Amino acid sequence: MNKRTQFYAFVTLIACGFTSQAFAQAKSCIELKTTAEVEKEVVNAKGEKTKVLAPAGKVVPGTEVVWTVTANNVCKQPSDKVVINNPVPEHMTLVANSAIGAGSQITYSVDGKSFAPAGQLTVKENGAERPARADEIRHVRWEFKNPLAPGAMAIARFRAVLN
Amino acid sequence: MFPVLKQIRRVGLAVVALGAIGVTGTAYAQVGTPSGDTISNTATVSYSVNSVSQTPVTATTQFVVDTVINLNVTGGFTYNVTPGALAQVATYTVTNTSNLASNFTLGVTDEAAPANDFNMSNLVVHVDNGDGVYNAADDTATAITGLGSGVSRVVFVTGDVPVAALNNQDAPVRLTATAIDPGTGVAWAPDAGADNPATVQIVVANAARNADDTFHVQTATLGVTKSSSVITDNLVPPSPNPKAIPGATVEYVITITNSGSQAATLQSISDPVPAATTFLAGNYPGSMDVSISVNGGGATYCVAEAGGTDTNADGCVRTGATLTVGAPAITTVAAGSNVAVRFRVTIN
Repeated sequence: MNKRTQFYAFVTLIACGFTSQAFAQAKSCIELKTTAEVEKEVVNAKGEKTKVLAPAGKVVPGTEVVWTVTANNVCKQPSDKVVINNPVPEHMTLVANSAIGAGSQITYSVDGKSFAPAGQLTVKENGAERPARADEIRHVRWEFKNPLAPGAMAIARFRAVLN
Repeated sequence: MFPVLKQIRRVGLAVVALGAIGVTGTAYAQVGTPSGDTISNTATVSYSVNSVSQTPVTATTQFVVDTVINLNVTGGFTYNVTPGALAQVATYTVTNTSNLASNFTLGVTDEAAPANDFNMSNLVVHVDNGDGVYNAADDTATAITGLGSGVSRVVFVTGDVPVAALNNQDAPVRLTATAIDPGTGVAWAPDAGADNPATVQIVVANAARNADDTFHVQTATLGVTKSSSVITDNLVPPSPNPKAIPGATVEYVITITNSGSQAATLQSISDPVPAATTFLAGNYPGSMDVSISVNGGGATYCVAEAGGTDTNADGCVRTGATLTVGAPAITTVAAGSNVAVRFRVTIN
């Protein structure tokens, strides 16, 4: 939880408890929630195999977790310049190119300072630039291009595997 | 700040998993994030309203890393053994690949036919005390306790080879390790209940695993044949195709063949001179009594003194009617070789 000490500290609204969803308090125009889920294969009523997301419960090393962030505009005015930042949790490795978010520009970062789109993020090694490995990417960012209308919801998602 | 309401089931283990438990293991590297660790994800959203930057909002969720039980057993060695040998040693390695410390019980069995040509007897498990060397006095444990995540322990199995085992026969021996929950003393029970992100639940990837080592018999396999031929009928002139008439010289050849994989050390070859014949001494070059030849090569000779005493200590002697040939005239028969011992008699 090293991001806790960022300069946003004066207003952080933190979720309590262990349910899979966390709520921000009402003063803000954006209601932010984040969930941890795993993808499970189930057989539906027709006997077909389908995949569903279920709350992450028995997570062991090697389990792939689907992290979903939802930003809901609860005010009467549109919110613009909506940017979601999500550090990849400690002890987890990002699944390369797994980040999705309709209407957003997705970028990644190793150091939390410089961000680049997938495939363009590089690191310096032995004086030369090389592509960053998935396990080196520690931040994901979604910059939503259009304003978020009142009552609208922006969704961001990425996957990471527990080390 | 987070109300940490974890209900860790096996409190001691969640703490212990983070420490160096496998004291004398061959390698120490925690496998996977330790059971009981909390994984937390925090998202932050920044935004503006009417182009006025607003205070960013943060949301967090978390779950607890569960216990995964897993292990590896390696073997795959082949040990050459001799029939009748006792306490032959096979080596295995058990590695705890769970994300916390575990105990292990061990079982050893002979594999069944058709892989198994014979059974080793008296199979005993000896857990290595950490020095990696089998020593019956030091390696007395028969189960593994407190093996940390990522730690390996060597296990020795000893067994006796039956006397009747034949050359090139195999006896695969299987070591099975079963992961045991130190808290309950029995195998780890997987959590059948609904997934719960707040508690440490148990997932069993592998409850038990095994590996085989093989004892492979390498020994000598001896066969003996005896033949005879008439050398001469001693008539004047001698007949071209001599027959076994009184006075004829007959040569006996005793051939010892080793069709096995190891040399055989011979103690002695004894042959009573047949009735109605008399041992013919001195009939080989240099007035020697017995000829010995390996694989049909050049012969060596010895004197088979009558009267039971090998005066010149060349390994050959006659005691009454019995000829005995031993060391140093004949010592070993190498694998894939034969030794031919020849002597002559006169038909009475």
